[in-house]
Amino acid sequence: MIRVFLLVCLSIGGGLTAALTYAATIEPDVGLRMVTLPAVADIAIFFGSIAGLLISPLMVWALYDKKVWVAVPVLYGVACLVIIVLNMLSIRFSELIALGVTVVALFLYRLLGKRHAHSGFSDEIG
Amino acid sequence: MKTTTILLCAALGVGLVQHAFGFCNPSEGRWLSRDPLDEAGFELLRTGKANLPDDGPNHYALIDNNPINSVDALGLASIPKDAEECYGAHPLYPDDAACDKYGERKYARVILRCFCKCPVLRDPWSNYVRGCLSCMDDKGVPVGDAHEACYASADKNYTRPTNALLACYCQCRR
Repeated sequence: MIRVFLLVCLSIGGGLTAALTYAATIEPDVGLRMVTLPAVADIAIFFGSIAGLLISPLMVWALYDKKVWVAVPVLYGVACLVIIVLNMLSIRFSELIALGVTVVALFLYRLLGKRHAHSGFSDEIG
Repeated sequence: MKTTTILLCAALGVGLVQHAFGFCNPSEGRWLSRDPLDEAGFELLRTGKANLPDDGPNHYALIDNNPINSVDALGLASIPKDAEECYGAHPLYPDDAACDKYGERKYARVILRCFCKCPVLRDPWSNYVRGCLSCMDDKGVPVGDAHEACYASADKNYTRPTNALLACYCQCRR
C-alpha cells in the first residue's frame, strides 16, 4: 500500500514537473520567466496534477514490482526532453505527445524493466 | 522622519536622487539600495501579495537600463513611459470589437483574440485586464511584459477568476 501511495505521489510529481517544463519553454521570447508570471503556475499546477492523476494507475501497474528509483528519473527525463524539443520546434500539442511517449515508455518498462530485488509485492521502497 | 531628512540631505549633497523607495545615482544609472520589490517583508507590508511587476532578478538595475523609454516613479517597477497610463485604461468586455485587432497572434500557444473574447471572463478583474492589455498592445509593449504588469496590477484591486482563466486557456489553446 505504501508503494502504491508513493507511486501515485511520484506520478503527480512527474505531471507537475512536466507541466512546469512546458510552461518554461512554451514562449521563447519570455523563457524561464514565464513560470513566474501571474496565473501561469496556477494553470500549470492544475493541468500537471490532472495529468499525473490520470497516468497514476498505469504508473502503479508498470512500476509496482520494478526499481522505482531507476525508472522514475528516466521517465521524467524522457517526458521533459520531449516537451523541450517539441516546444523548440513549435510543434502543436507537445504536452499531449509527451504524455503519449510517457505511456509508451511505461508499457515498455513494464515489459522490459528489471524487477525489484524483493519480488516487488512488499511495501518496501526501492 | 528625522532619519529620512538626513538621508535626503546627504543624497543631495553627493548628487544622488532619492525616489520614494530608494536612492538612484543618475551618473551610473543604478540604484544604490536594493529594490524592495520581491522582498517578502516589503510585499507583505505593501499589498500582502508577492507578484507585482518588477525589474527582474537584479535588484540594483534601474528601469531595465533604458531610462530614455521607461519610467520608474516609485523606484519599484518599470514599464514604458507612455504605457503607464494603461493601468487606468477603460475596461473592455468580451464582445468588444477591440479584441479583433489581435488577429491570429498567439502567446503561450493561446490565440489572443479568442482569449480576449472568451465569454466566461466577464468579472471586473477580467474587464480591467482586457482593457490594460489592449492599451499596452496599442503602445507596442511585448505581450509577456503586458501580461505581467496588467495581471499584477489587477490583482491589487480585484479577485482573479482562476477557474475562468483555466476554461479560457483550454478553449483558446491551439
